Formats: sequence, C-alpha cells, structure tokens
Amino acid sequence: MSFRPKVPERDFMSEAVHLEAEQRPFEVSIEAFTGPVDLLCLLVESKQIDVSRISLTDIVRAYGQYLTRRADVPLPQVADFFHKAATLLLYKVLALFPVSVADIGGNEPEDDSVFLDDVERRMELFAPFRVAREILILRKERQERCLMRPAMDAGPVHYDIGDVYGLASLWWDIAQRRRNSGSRTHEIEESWIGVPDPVPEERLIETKVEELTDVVLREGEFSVSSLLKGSIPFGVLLVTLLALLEMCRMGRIRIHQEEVFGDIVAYGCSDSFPGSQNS
Amino acid sequence: MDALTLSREARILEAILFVASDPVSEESVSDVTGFSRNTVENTFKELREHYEKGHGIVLRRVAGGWKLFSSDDVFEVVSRFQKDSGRIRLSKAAFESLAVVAYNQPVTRGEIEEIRGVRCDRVIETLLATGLVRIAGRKRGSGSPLLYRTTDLFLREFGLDSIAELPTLAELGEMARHRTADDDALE
Repeated sequence: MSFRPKVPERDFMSEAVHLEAEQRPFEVSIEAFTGPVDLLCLLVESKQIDVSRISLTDIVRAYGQYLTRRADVPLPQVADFFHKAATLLLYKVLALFPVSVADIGGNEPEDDSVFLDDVERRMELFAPFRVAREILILRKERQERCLMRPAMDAGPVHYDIGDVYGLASLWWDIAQRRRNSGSRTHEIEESWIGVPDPVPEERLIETKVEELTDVVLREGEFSVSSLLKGSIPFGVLLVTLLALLEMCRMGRIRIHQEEVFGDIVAYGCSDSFPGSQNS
Repeated sequence: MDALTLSREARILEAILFVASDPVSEESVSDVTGFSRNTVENTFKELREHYEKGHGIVLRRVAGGWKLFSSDDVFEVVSRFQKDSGRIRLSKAAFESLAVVAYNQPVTRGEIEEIRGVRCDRVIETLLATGLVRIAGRKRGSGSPLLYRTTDLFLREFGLDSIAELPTLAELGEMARHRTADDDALE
C-alpha cells in the first residue's frame, strides 16, 4: 500500500483568471468609456467624448495603482501612457477656447442611404428589431407617465488644471457678451473703475508731479486729504502717493504728519519754489 | 397597511428612497444600514406593497435598484407641476438603433448598419450624446471598430430592471412572424 501526500486543492481556474487579469494591459474605466488610453485619446480627438468630463487625475491615479500592482511594466509603456495623458491634458487646454459652429459640424445632412442589395434577407434580419423598436417606444411612453425625482446630472466637469477651465469659460462668455452688445472702448474704460489707464506708470507719475507742483506754486502747501476727496479710483490714489514720494525725494516738498493716522500736509521747499506762497 | 405600521427598517429605507435621486440598490442600503441583504430585500417588498395601497407614489425596481415614481393615475396633474422633466426625445431611427444595441451588445456600428440596412453614424452620435449608449471598447479584428453598450440610464428611461426583462430575440422573431401572417391575412 502506498500513501500519497495530501496536497491542498488548488483552484487552477480562478488562479488563471486572476493571473490573466493581472497581466491585462491597463484599461481606463470611466462613466462613458471602458478601454485603452489610446482609444480614449482617439474618441476625445474625434469629439465623441467630452474631455472636460474626464478626470485625468483619476486616470493617472488608477495607472499608478496599476503600476504598483504589476511592477514589471516596461519603461517605454509607461512613457507611452504619460504621452497619452499629456495628449488628454492638451485637449483639456484646447477645450478652454471657444468652439466655432464649423468645428461642431452640427449641420451635416442626415445620410440614411439605403443599401439596396438582398432586401429580403435584410427585412427578415430586421423584422425582430422592428418589433423591439415598438416595444421600446411603448415602454418609454409608459415610463414617461411615471414621474420621478430628477437624476443627478453628469456631475461637475473636472478641472485637472485648477479652476482655469471655469475662468476661461467665464472670460469667453464676458468677451462674447461685450462683443454682442457692441460696447465702445470708452464705455468699457468707464466701467473698469479702479484700473489705471493703460499708460506707462512713470508717465502717470510725471504728470501728477507737474499737477502737484502747480498746487504748491499756487498755494504753498496742501493737505493730502484735499487731493483725495470723494471716491477716487485706486489707481489715482497710488499714483498720487508715488508722486508725493517722488517730490520728497527730489527735495521739492516736505511732508509732515501731526499725529498718527492724521492728515498729511505737504509744504513746498523754498529752494525749489522760491516764489511760492509758503516758501 | 397604515403608515404607522411600517417597521423601523421600512421607515429608514423610505427615507433613503426619499433623498435618493438615483435607483437605490439593496447592496448600498445594506452597506449603509448594516441590515442583512435578506432584510433589505424583504423590507423593499414591504414598502412596495405599502405604496400599492392608495398612495400617489409607487415603488418600482429599475436599473438594478429601487426608485419612487408618481403613480400612473396622478400623472396628468403632477406633470403640470414637473414641467421640465428632462425627458429624452428619440426618433424612430434612434429607437431602432437602440433596440439593435440592446439585443446585440456589445455591438459595432457596422453590425448595427448590417441589421438596419442604413448608415447609423449620426444616430449613434445622438444616442451617445443622450447617454443611453456608451462606448465599451474595441472589437478585436480588422479595423478594431468601437463597441457600443446600453447604459443604466437606458434601463431607467425604459423602466427596466435589467436587459433580461425585454423579450428574447426568439420571442421577437415569433411576434414578427405573427404580425406578417396577420398582415397577409388582411390583404
């Protein structure tokens, strides 16, 4: 009599399935698509999938987990994945720009040209699906009578490059609205209170210095608060303060503040303004 | 059954159904509540029976989960309240293509065109845009064409718990033959 050692039973089938799953190339699995990354790129390129609905972060994270699991992925394959991921990122960036109607291609005529060969065979092949179509139409009509809480929408778009996508959309919307409204340049400038004119800053300060020089010549001294009466734009305030500092540096005025947070008074220097009232 | 007689489990599931916008699966409820799958299944059935008795809402299984719907008899009035129900409108061609996808999935565009006998690229685009169909990879072989499948939204829109609820292709073929025979008899 011979005794055979008892070998624990192995489930070769499940092991093989597991091994096959482990060896399988990386596949993206998202809401609207399951398949390899290159196919995803192709679908994004042909606009069959909206790139802004894809989370590149999730895809890269999933790939990271895949790499950890496999540990033996050749470097060229890894490089290829990142090349594809970069391509998707590029499409995301391109999606920041407005799309022209021509790009959408929505006006193509429906091309339902019937193939006229072996009609009978086709009719036979198609007959069950015509019944299925009617069943679906009936089911849909019946289902439409059952109202429900609306399902969640497709969810937020994924801004893999921060909120630039949202900002870009907003910017293009504003630009389009302005273009449509036909606003003239001066109207736009008026509405942008607080933003300095598009003149070189030095030139602005020089002009302000000349303006303040006239005030000193006329009045001898002036309080800064008198220059900043009312609600003046931030840009004007900034230029005024810089002009005052510049005049101090040039020795044209002296400034004095009696108390902390009190008013600042500027006096014309006698060397610079011999004829001024306060010299 | 009076509302007050609902079990605690049933009241919890009722509240989950109330806040959910998508169909609620037994699995997800079991995970959240800690109730066994058996308890959850029985409780959903308890709730369904509860709503069948004189309520304005009904509980039905769609797309692998449970969902509350308005009952058919109140549709006319309630639809005036829910004006924009976001329903998907489809052409006959779209219904046909959808039927072909539903019965042959995963299926390529070429296969759909072979059955329908017409080009289907625009129709498939429409179905993809509505979310009733999704791309499910590529078929191995020459040209590696894309494969299409129906989605959970398809099940929801057609009030199906699963594709298996539709009649089989053999049954459809039988129905089509009966129809042809009836048409011939009329002629």
